[in-house]
Amino acid sequence: MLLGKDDDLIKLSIQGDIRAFEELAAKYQHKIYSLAYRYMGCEEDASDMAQEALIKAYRSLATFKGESSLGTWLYRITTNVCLDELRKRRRTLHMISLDEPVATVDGDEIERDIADPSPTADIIYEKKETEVYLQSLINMLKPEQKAVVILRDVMDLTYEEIAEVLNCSIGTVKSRLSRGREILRKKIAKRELLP
Amino acid sequence: MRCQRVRELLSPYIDRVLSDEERNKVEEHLTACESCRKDLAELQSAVNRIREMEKLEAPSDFMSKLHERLLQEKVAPFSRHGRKSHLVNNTSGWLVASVASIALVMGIYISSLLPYPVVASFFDRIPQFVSSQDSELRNNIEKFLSEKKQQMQMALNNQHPQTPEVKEGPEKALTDPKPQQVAVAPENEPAGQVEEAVEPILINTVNLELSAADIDQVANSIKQLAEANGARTETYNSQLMAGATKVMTVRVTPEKLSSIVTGIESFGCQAQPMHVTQDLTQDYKNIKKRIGEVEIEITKLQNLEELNADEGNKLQAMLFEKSYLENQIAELEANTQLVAVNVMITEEPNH
Repeated sequence: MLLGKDDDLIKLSIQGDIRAFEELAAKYQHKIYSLAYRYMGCEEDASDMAQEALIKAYRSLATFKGESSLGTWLYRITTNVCLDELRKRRRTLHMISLDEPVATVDGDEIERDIADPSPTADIIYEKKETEVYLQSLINMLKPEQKAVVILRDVMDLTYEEIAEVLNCSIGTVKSRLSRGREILRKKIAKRELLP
Repeated sequence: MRCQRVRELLSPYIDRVLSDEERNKVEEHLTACESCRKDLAELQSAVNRIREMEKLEAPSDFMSKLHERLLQEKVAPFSRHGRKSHLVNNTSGWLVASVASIALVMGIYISSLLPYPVVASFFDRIPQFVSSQDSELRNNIEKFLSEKKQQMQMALNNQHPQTPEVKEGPEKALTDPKPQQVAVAPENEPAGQVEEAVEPILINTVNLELSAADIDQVANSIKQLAEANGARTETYNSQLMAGATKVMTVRVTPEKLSSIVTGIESFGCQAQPMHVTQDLTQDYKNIKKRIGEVEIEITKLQNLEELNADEGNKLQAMLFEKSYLENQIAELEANTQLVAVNVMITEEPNH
């Protein structure tokens, strides 16, 4: 085992040392997988996208300048990979079913849910149902809002880190987060009112 | 502050990123406004629920799947898109190009199990050509080459028999000289220059899996069988996850193929033999191209009146590389006339 610091592992990886890169990847695998799961909504897609992100990272490691932390850099790649895939799928849906993002009564735009894991109430335990329900809410958010909500409330990044990941200003992070969370609040509030 | 404005600030308020002034105004409003207090409570609750979602972990096969994909990635310093090698600096660029020959041969090795010792000998010679003053460079190269060696060994460990379906029964397949399926060698992009037309370089292979209690005994039997039929064998040890494995390649003339395969199968065959045709035409062309480049370098150097130390090393290395590559070519050409029978012998689990 190499037991190296990130810097050494990065240097070796750039030279093509697969073992060094795998040591890096092992450190971040759970975080990257979690992030991908929250974006994509299911295990298979999460796994595929997380692997995709790590391969992209391996290929472009030479461009990592160390201006951000390695984790932030990896989150950025993962976010881009996932959002690109989601956009691709939306376009496909567009072509097939003329789907448009749905404007709800309150004027909030949400995504028509692409990966809707509809729980069958009888066989799902309560906690799992909550998980699935919450994930389905996240699935409904638009890409920009989805990203900030996940990065902030699931992955626990600071506003500054989120701005780095998404390559936008902190002000943008603030407003997208505000919008995203507000949509979630309303959805949850409505559901709670149901008998 | 009005409700609408306050509601916009509730989210950053929860995260405590408001300025003191904004925070004070919000809190002042909240003490007086029940509706906004309710909104805040709901917002906080929604955020908490997301935060309390279960922490996920990557599936258990995640790293091994990643490993498989990484093995297929091109060797980093030899990116086709002209990325500069991080391994060596400008003055020894020729060394990088020489070492690139390893990538060529490695590709062939992985796809057709060329003799490992032949390729390994190239690894061992390269550091000699580095000037003894440049120890850092030498270290980098040695480290790099030993890593390549390990990657090749890993590729050998991960090598499975190729997977095409054999539709006919084994008897018919053995006597039928036409290939069942073409397996394309690892991707090699032609450089866009005009290449001389070459005959396709196709190597017929038959992949067999055996399971035996005593691997060495079976390996010996196969060796004897091969020798009796005038065929060469190459043997490698490998450590698959389940247990020890030997991989042998027996190169036979087509006439002897049937009897050799039947003989080997009798030692404990597990499954239908798989027929694959390795198409190594592009690799062959790449090697020829590289030989051409090396010849040009050699001529240049030989035309110089005096050679300094670096040039002297370079000439030696070029000559060595040329003869190495020419051997590879000769071997490839010879192998097209033979059928490669790859046998993977795994240890039978104890009952």
